[in-house]
Amino acid sequence: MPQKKTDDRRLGIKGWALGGRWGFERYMYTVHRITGIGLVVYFLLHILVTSTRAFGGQHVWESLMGTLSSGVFKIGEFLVFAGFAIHGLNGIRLILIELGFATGKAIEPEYPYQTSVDKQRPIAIVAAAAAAVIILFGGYNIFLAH
Amino acid sequence: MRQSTGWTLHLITGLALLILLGTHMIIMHLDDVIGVGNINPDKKPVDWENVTARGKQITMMFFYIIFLGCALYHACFGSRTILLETDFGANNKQLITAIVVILGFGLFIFGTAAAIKFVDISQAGMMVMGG
Amino acid sequence: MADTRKIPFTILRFNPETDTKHRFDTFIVDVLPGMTVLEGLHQIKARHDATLAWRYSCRMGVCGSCGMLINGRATLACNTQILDVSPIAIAIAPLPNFPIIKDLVPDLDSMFQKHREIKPWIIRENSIEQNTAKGEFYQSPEQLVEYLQFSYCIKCGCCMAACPTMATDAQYLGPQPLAQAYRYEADSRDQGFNARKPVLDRDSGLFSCHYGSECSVVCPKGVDPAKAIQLMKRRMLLDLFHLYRKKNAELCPDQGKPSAQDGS
Repeated sequence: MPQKKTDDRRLGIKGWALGGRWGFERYMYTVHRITGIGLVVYFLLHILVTSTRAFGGQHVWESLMGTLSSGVFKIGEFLVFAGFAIHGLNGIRLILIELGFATGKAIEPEYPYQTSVDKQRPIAIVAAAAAAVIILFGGYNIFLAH
Repeated sequence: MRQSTGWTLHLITGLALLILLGTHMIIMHLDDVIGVGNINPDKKPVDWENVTARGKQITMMFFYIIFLGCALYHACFGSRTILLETDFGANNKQLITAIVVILGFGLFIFGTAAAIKFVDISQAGMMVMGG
Repeated sequence: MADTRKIPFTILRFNPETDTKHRFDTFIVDVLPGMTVLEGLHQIKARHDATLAWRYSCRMGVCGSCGMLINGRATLACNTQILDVSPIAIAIAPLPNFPIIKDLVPDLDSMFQKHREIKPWIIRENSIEQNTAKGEFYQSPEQLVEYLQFSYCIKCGCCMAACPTMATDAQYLGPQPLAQAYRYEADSRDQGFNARKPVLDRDSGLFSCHYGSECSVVCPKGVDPAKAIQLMKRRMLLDLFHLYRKKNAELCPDQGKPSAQDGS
C-alpha cells in the first residue's frame, strides 16, 4: 500500500495578501507589517547615518546629505514618510481596538450578525483618510516645495 | 518575561512615538508646509547650521535619547513578533531574541554616545561661527 | 426547468494514497435558485464523480462539518447559496491552514488540540464545591450576554482558515481557542483566569493576534472571535497592573425545587 501523504495547505507569508477574498482590515494587517518592516530597515540605517555628524564632523555630514538629496533618495524619503503616516494612524486604530475601546461589548447575536469589524470600521476609514492627507502634504513638501 | 509585558511596552512606546516621531517628522519633513522648530528658517532642517543649533541643546539631547530608546524597543519587539510568527522564527526563538536584544542595546549605546558627543561638537562649532 | 443555470464548479482534489500534489477538477452543475453549495456537491457526487469527498452532517449550519473555502471565503457549504456567491463560476478548496485528509476534508485535529489546551470548561477554585454543588450558581441575563455570543462556536474552523497569523505560525493558538478562552473567562461562574494565563500569555498565544479580523468576518455563527480576543487582552493588561477584579457568581443553596407534579 502506498504511503499516505498529506497536503499541508498552510498559506505561509503569501497568505498575508493572497489565498482568499479578504476584507479591508486583513489587508491592513499586512500593510501594517510591511510599513513596519520598511521603517525598521530605514531606522537602523538612519541611526548609522545621523551618527556621522558626531563621529565624522561637518564635511562628512554635508557630503552625505548632498548624496542623499538626489532623486532616488527623495523617493525613499517619501516612502518612509508615507510608511510612517500609515503605520502611525493605523497604530492608533489598533491600540483603540486591542484595548477593547473600539470593538464594542458582547452582544446577543442576531442575523445578520453585527461584529466588532463593523463597529471599528469608521475608525479604519478616518485613519486611512487622515493618512492619505498627511502623505499628500509630505509629498508636496518633499517634491514640490523649495 | 510575560508576553503581555512586552506587548504593553510595545503599546506605550508606540504612543510615545506618535508624539516623538510626529514632532521629528513635522520638523524634518514638513518644514515648508508647517515650518515649526526650524531654527534658521532660510536653511533646510538637515543643513549643518540647523543640525548644530538643535544638537547643542541639552533638552534636544534628552529628546533624541528617549526617542531612540522608544523607537528601538518598538522596532525590536515588532521585528521579533513578526519573525517569531514564521516557521523559521518559531524554531529559533532564542536565537532571534538574542539577535534583537544585542542589536537593540548596541544601537542604543551607539546612538546615545553620538547624541552626547554631538552636544560638545555643536557648542564648539557655534562658538567658531559666533566668533 | 427555465430557472436552471449551468455553473462550473472547480474543485480542489487530493487523494493522499495516490497523489503527491493537489489538482483541480471542473464539473458543470445545474443550479436552481436557492440551491446551496452543499447541494451542488451532492449533485456532482451523484452525476459526475462518486469519489469526491467532503464532510457534512446536519445541512443546516449547526454541526460545523462543511466548512470550506468557497470563491476565496471560508464558510459553511450548507448555508451558502450558490447564486449568492456567483452566478458565473464557483471555486471550492478545503479550508486553508489545515492539512488535507482527502479532497475537501481538512484535518482539524490541531485546532481541537489547541482548544483543549485553553481548558474549555468552568473552573472553580473550590473543586469540591464545583463537583458536589449543593445549589446553583445564579446568573443574571446581563451576565449571560457577557459570554453567550462566544458560546455559539460550532468549531467549523473557518476562523482558523481566514487568520493571517495562522497562515505563518503553526504554533499560534488561533481565533477559535482564544475566543473560547474568553467565553469561559467572561462567564461569571468561572474562576480559571490564573489556570489559563500561562497558555494565553506566551509566544504564539493571545498577543499574536493583531486584529486581521477576518475570523469575525467569516464566522457563520456571529461569534466574533476577534472581539473576544481583544476583550481578553484588556483583562490580561489589567491583570498585569494588578487592577483586574472579577465579580464571581456565588453558590446559592438549593431551596428545594418544585417537583413535576407540583408544577402541573
